Amino acid sequence: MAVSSTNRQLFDLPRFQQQSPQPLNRRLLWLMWLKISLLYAVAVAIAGGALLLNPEVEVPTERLWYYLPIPWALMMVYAAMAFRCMSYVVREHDLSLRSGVIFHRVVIQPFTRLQHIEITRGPLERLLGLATVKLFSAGGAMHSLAVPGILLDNAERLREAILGSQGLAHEQ
Amino acid sequence: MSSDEAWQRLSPFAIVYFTGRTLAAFLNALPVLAAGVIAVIQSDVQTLIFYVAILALLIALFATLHYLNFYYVQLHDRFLIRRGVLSRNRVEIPFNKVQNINIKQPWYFRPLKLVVLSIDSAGSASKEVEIAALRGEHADRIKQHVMAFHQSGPGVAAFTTARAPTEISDRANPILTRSTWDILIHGFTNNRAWLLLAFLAPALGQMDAIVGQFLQSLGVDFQSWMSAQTTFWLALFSVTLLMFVFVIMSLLSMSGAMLALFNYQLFYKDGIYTRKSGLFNRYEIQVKKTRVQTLKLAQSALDLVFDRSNLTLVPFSSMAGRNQYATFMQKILVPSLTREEANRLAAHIYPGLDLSQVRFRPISRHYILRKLLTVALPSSLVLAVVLTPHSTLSGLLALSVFGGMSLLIWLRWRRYGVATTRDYVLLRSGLLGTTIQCLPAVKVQQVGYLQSFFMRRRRLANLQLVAASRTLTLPFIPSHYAENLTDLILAKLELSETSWM
Repeated sequence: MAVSSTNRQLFDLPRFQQQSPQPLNRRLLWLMWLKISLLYAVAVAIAGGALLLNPEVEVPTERLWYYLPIPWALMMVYAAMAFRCMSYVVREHDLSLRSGVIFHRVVIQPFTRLQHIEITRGPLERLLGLATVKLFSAGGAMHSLAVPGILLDNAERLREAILGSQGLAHEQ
Repeated sequence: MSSDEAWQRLSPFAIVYFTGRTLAAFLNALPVLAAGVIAVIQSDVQTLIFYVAILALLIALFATLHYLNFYYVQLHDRFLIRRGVLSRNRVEIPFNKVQNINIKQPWYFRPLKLVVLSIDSAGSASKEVEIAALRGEHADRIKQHVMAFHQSGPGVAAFTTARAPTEISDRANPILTRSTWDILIHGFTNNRAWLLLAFLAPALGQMDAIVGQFLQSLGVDFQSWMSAQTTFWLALFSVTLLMFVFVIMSLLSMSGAMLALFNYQLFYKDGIYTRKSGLFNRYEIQVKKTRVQTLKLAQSALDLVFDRSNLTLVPFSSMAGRNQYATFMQKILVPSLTREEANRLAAHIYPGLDLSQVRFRPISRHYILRKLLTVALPSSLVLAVVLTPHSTLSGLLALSVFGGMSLLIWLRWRRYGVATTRDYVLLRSGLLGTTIQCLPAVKVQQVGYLQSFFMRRRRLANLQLVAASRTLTLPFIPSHYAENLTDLILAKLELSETSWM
């Protein structure tokens, strides 16, 4: 009774890998860049403050200025790559999110197994008009699926669509 | 469905509740703020009062902000909640997904006859939402409404109708009993000593001190004694000590097992498994058949000697994982089953599952390569580099560590196996012993498909099947197999109406 790849019945199944993925809103990239820049600025400020307070630590100051932007630039490039790798697909019965630069990851959340949906907006997200849609299943908070970078209107629409979908309606 | 019309604020008395919560959060953070706290305490009285006043103001401000930003609507079939000061949240809880609804009355609400309604949905381990400062009768009405919703919906059932053809017994006749011999074997092969500790918990605080003192008094002589002995005697002593510890631990473990599992009886009636056991206290644990999320068939290395295994019925529970003892008391463990008994019981719980017919397929050999490169090689290289200045044998030592780790990795790889039947996914894993986990496809909550760059080139993938009680990761399986399995599981649970509960 083992399922094998040659099982004929399988050919009629919808395939999760063969969907055209939808990229996330470009503003998400700006959000990621903004976060990195802010964090980096804070880190540099703290390090700079610590150096100022401890004058006995000798640092080649002029050189340091040249090197300072390099980690920042690397992180920005990595963020851009990560953004390019992210996409999501909404099907009739499930939502899948792809992500990961080196480790590719597809997480698929069937709507029939949803417990509740949350829309979260941090201060920066509000600034950019974005929202994160979080899907909670009984798999626990560790396995909630967060879809970031969705325009607020779309987030509301997505939520309504999922709640109104066949899957969830079945159980009600 | 528009939801903006009826947003409601809480009663202003809720500010008291939020103050309490903020204060609690602050007190929890105290250890982190320790340096600041010490600095403030050491200052003079005036400064102290000043800081305390500022703190009180901040807490009051935060509580008020929380209150002002908390809105809720009770619709016919769901709760909508908007909350959060800095990061805003919108929570939606359909009543039929509510796991638990409780009414609590903190002491400060008692004179006002107000209560806190806490609603727990299965989404996360902690309480989801607390609605503070409701009038008692109002909270009661909401609770009744939510509970009525639960009973009217199709909710559970569905799976219970699928009855196993074999022995269905009533309360009087257990479907399975375990003899004292079985329990003793179980205690010997599995470490259950902690059951004894849990039993003795109240006296444990003092035990600690006594044992500590004893060891300390021993330590002084012990050290001088050790240095005087020759290697041979030392080796002999170590072996004896190890044996001694082993015997003591076995005895402790066996008494722990006897204490908790003596006179073991397993009943099945009306879709509910009941386990009764215990020497002094009779423990009774009930698990609904439909709530069994996964089955775990574990065989420790020592179990191999007796060819026994232990079956665990893992139910869904939002309380899981708090502490070992509590978790143990929520699952039904069936100890020391012979192969044939295990197969029969597994088929009883999961109809259509025949463990004796399951053929596991090994995972890819690249698992070994990957672990060698990412775990064994780096750690033994680091060891070699660190030890080289100190010892001439460092190379040899690092090599033997590498060899040992390779052996462990190979053993682990050999134990891994994946099998699928029409309705179930099975994963075999382990090092010396084996554990077989069985997950019905309809109990899957979420699927994760993972591939590193190298795995993609080798057409391999990790498949992560998230259930309500645990996550099964099928490592290094062929990617086409993983994809087919994903599609099959998704189709099964999206198109079938079987509930996971």
